[in-house]
Amino acid sequence: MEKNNRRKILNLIIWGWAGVTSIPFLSTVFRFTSPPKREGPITAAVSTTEEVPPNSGKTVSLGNRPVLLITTPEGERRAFLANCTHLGCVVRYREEENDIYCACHHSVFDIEGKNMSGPAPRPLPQLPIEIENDNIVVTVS
Amino acid sequence: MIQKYFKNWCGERLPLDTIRNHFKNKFVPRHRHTIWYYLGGLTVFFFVIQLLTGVLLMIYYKPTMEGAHQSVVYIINEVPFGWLIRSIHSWAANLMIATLLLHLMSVFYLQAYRPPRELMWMSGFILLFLILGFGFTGYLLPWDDIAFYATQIGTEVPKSIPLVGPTLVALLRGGEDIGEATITRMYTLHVFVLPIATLLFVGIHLFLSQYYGASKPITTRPKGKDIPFYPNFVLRDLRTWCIALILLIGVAILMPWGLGEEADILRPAPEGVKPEWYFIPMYQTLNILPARILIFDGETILNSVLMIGGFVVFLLPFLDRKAKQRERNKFILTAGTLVILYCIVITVSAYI
Repeated sequence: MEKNNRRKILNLIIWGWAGVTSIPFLSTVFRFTSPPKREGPITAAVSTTEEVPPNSGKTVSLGNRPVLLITTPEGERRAFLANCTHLGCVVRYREEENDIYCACHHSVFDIEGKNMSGPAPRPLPQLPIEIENDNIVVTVS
Repeated sequence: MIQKYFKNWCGERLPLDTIRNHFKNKFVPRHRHTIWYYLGGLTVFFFVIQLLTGVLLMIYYKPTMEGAHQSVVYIINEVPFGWLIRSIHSWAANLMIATLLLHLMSVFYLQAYRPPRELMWMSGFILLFLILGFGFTGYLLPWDDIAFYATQIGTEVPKSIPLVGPTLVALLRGGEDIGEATITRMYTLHVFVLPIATLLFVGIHLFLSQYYGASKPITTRPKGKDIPFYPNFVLRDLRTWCIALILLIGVAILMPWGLGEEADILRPAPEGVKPEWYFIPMYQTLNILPARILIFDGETILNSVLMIGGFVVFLLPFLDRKAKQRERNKFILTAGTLVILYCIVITVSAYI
């Protein structure tokens, strides 16, 4: 009986020790594999106004993210994060339809970025845009 | 003389007689469904081919954004027989998944998961996920357009899982977007983590299959004497593997696996982008589902259905009480058939 108790205590100590040491081990592995958080807002000149004439779109990279610049037929300029809000495929501007389209699951957004049809659940995030000396300056948060 | 000495030397140190006796007393049932027994072995055969060709490809492959596509181009165009090794690797991956799915279906229809083989079913189910994991992680490695978008979509889907979704996606991608970190992570999973886990579960699965032997179907009558496992069934397995190898090399030569344009994270998604055939049911379902159903996103609904469905299938041996009593469970068989038919129809619809 006493021997059994000793074994039970020994088992408890071994499993307890294994449990306690596995927590910092797993936590270290998790923290090691977790990617660093993205840095704060990035503002940069991403294109010239000439490169995006009326009724056209251009995809540029800002902070390693695709950004869609469009100029409406009326000449208004807008910038959106170019990842479709459905599953993240890069969208494009369609001149003939005057809309933004994702070929992966055929989602369509209007030129305000609002989801019009297809499975995209939300509008495209619009980004602040400024024109400085014929350069298009965009901020990604 | 040397052979005899070596045999005796090993016999004195290893339990060879016990192993020999085990195989001598092992028989495989002979009936009209015996053919399905070859599928498990065939899947292991393709897995071995994957290990061998994978190691060869690792010699030249570079898991970086600049080097991945170029190194695959180099393997195809410059390395002697590189195109063949890569083609065999890609074809064998698809054939392995095909034989694995057929094996799973045969076990399901023959209700071979019934007690005492619950652990075989469960280890096999985990293997299915590991093998699909190989397909998913390996798909990005050539870093071409289709690979990029398939991974983009595939890694985006778990995002809608409550609480853990975004963390899981960040862990898979190595950041918020697909890039260099994603390639290295997929590569690590593909060549190290998944092979180790798969070898472990293949070992468990094979041990259990030797321990329990082949399951006899509930309603099928035996057709003559059982087949001795060694050497008769082993030789039949070898014959199947030889035929599979000839077919594999044939398709790899006649239809070499292609490579698309190098991925560009700024290029809009091309028309008709599709993942590999075994992920099409999920991909097409996402296409059909509306953006929102009541208060939930379409992806959240799909994730929930997949998780609950996967859990039910994993626990099938415990849920099917009729199979335990050696009875056909019409409800489970009909439900399984409907799921399989849905997957087939939706996959075919994606290609026409």
